[in-house]
Amino acid sequence: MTTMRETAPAAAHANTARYTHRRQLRNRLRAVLVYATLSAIAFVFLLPLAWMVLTAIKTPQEALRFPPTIIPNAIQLDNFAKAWNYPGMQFPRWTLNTLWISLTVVTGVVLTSSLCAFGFARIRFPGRSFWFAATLASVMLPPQVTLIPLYILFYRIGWLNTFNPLIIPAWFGGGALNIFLLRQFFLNIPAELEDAAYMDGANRLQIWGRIFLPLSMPALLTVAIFTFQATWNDFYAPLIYLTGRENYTLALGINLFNSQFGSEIQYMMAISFLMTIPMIIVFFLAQRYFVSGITLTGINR
Amino acid sequence: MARKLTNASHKYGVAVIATLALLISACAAPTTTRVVEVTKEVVVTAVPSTGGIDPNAKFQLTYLNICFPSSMAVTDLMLAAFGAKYPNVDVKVDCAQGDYAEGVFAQAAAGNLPDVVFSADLFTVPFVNAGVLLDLEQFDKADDSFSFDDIYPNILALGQVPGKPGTYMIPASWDSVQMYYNKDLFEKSGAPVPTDEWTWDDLIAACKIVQEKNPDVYCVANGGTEGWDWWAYFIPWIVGHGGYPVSEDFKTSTFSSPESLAGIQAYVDLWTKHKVTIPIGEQLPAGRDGCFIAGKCATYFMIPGLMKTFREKITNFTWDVVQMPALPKKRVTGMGTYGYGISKDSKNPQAAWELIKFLASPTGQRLSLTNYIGVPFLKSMADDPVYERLQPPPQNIKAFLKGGEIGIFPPNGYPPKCGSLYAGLINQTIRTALEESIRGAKTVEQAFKDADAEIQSCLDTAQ
Amino acid sequence: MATQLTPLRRTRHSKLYWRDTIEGYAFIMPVILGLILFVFGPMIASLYISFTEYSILQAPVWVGFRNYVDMFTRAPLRVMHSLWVTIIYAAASVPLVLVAALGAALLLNQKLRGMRYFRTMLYIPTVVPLVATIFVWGWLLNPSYGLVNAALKLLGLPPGTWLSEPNTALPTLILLSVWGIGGSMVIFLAGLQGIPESLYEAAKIDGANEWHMFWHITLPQLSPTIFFLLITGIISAFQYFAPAFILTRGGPLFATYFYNLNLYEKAFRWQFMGLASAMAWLLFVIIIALTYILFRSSNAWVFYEVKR
Repeated sequence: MTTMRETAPAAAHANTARYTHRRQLRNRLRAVLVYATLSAIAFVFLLPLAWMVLTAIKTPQEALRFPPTIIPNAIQLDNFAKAWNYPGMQFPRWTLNTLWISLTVVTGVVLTSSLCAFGFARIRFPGRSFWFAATLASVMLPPQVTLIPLYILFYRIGWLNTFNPLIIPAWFGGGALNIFLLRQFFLNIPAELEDAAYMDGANRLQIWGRIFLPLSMPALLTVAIFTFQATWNDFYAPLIYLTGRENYTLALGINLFNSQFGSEIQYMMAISFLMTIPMIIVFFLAQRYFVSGITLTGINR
Repeated sequence: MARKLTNASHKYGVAVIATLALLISACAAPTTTRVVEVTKEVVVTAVPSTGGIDPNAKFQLTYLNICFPSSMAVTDLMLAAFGAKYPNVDVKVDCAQGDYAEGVFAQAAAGNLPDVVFSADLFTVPFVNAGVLLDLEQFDKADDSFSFDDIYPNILALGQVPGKPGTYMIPASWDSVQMYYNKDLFEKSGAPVPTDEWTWDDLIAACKIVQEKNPDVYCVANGGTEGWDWWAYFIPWIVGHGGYPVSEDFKTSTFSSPESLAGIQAYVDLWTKHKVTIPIGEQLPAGRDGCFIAGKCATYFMIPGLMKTFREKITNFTWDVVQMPALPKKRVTGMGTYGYGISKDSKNPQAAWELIKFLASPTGQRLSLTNYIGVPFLKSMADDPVYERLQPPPQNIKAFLKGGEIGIFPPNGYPPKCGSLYAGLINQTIRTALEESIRGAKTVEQAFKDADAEIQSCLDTAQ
Repeated sequence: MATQLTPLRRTRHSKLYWRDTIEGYAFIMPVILGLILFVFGPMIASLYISFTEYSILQAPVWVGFRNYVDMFTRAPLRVMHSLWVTIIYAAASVPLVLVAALGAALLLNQKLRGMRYFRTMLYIPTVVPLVATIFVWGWLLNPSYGLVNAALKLLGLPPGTWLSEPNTALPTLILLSVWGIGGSMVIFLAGLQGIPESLYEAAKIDGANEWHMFWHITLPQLSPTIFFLLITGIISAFQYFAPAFILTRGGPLFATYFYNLNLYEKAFRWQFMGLASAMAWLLFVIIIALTYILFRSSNAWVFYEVKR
């Protein structure tokens, strides 16, 4: 519920003071309720993360103990360093790999999905509905359908154990949902801006680049951040295409800690926690844009 | 809001960036571990006795391994030893993840399998039927520094397919399921301590005492993913009561024969009647091996490979191993192995052979044993002095060293379309029937009559 | 607020028409290429495979419609059962998540201090790596040792069997889906903040109370957002895989045997590629049908600001 702004009743009403006082009390009560509820929800939501951190700082013996101890008896802060330098793992390299993949994917997605969204939103041409419907339909395709044929395709062109199968598709339309989202956004940008630019002699690409992109910064940021997070944590695509250990991503790497013959759970949790921190920071800083970016019903002028 | 759009270069800016990025990512060359072209022609001529590859040529091998954190250090050790012997061969290790068989099949379909492929008894039939592995006998015959005759035949048989010639996998260890146990726990509870001569009745009786004195302890713990559905755990119960899952020609499913049912019922009784094992569906946070390490599971049934982990991680109680307890008709346990094969895509099969031969040679076997991850399977090593170098725990390591003598291996001649005991329709049918029995959704008799019917209908159509 | 493109800019086959066509296709060329190379091409290949018996390493053998017939008739394959499991999950979790996300967004939309922190806290679950998440939930929900049951005991409530009993496993997973509402919540927040204050002010002057305003202003204004989340929610619910794969492995006794898990097993464990492809196509058809129904119904209840 949006906050109710005080519309002042007629001045010098006899009951003004009491009326305002009651209203202040109600607002305060409501604030308390909101904070209480949110705190309770946040507690439940953060519980697994807390558990993860607590496990991450346990000794190997204690991590395996059950009933599990909640607060570790012996804290091992160097678990993080040990996990990072674990023999056989290559976390520094994997971090670079993951970063590279994520950044190139985000760039590709933002560029191409905004280009395509612009085309769908702002240009009328024959077959537009068909291709838009096809784009949407592709979202509903279960990935398993195309898995094996795609794998064979990438082998034939020599892209296995490279980053290309993960990156290149992002540059070809960058995800149908993103196109959908951006198209919604573009649809609500007034035509007057466009027409004015036409009259100044701009072509479509310039309109796209100089008007639509800057105006939709929040939406683009949203797409960028969602995509970055998805790629950062992606497990199954790297699992299939990255077979050489030095090409792993972080998500693949931490799974190496999990095996039937000696899981090192505390290290897995340690690295998972480290992996999560950048995402949390990014979200926290960018949420201002994030939230206003997905507005679908219009922009502030 | 309208801006002057006079900056022409801006128009191209995006295109330039896009192209650059495309070029960069396409050229981004992460290290590939594909097999490199051999610099010299490798010709397998009359073989000198120390190996069949040219010592002056450089080779690169890829080696697909299942990398357990605890064994990676040992793998590196073994590869270092191999590298000392063959400095001209460079081995790159890839770690298989996720579903191993799936990964291998996908790579086989695309034609880019690594040279040396980790395999195991459960993979032999599917891999061979799919043509993934080369027949190793040609290499064996050409090499007189090593012979398959030195390997105990029933272990070697795990790398063979019934009805088909050839051997496709060199074993890495002689794995049989035996019983690790927590000695202190049995003693402190006043229960008898397990010996190599025990029967299952002995164990169940002792377990009841242990569980009574320690209510939060589970007595019988099986390893593996679920701990109750691995063939190596319950098929021996069938055999130990005189039954067998299937007829010799694999045309009739015999789970519901009286002897088989007796065996299955006795197995299910561990859960339902005696309650000496971990309840089904109980997901222990650190697995059952973690349970044993933590001292909350009194026994642990598994292969020798766990010795290394247990030696490293168990610090506060004494543990040891004994043979699998005996069942009414015989003492029997499940036996298997993992090992290595050479893939059909290998460009350096001879160099690959040298590697797996090394891993199976006495040198490799000694390395494996002294690191407590495997048990030798060579006849010539029966009285090897390396055994004296072993330090307890476990004191009674001979339970593993001789363990294969009571081992059986699984019936694996089912028609491929019906799957096998490891995967496919048969596996699913058996697991479901077992789970229904243990949970009490059906009686053992009913569950396995239905299972037989289901398997039979597949066997009938597949012939 | 309605806008129109300037009328009469285009006539058939005028220069503008051709220019629009060329430029239009130029702009959407990336997605056209992407669709052909990475979607439609492989799809056609997999459609072909669905009519064959293919174990990936031997050549495909044409069997006509047998895979499709088997899907519906052979009970041990459990295709229909897994479809049912997935439908139940989708029908329960999608509305649940929507309502929960909307509720959270409404709470977070208050103009109070510290909302940024709460927003982040509720969003964090979506960015934690999946493998670790699933591990942690496995522990927390352990009937004997998990924190959840321990907490329930403290509060004097009976402990639950969660994922260990066939009857409670699926409801547990449905409940668990609420933990990941962060993404939807953020989208709802955006939608809420896009609702002009003026609408609420006008309503207040007319004497509307909070419930009125919610029902007659907030919800209709949010309907495009709801529509979007409904579609994406259903699509991802039908592709539910990872928790079933890692946590429950389809059990106990197939209670959580989701369609995608079944498909994965048939393809990669059983090597029934043909059957798996047929299953994938069935799923595809169902999703298309559902989406079509939703789109058609959207004319009745989705309210757009701008005429399209």
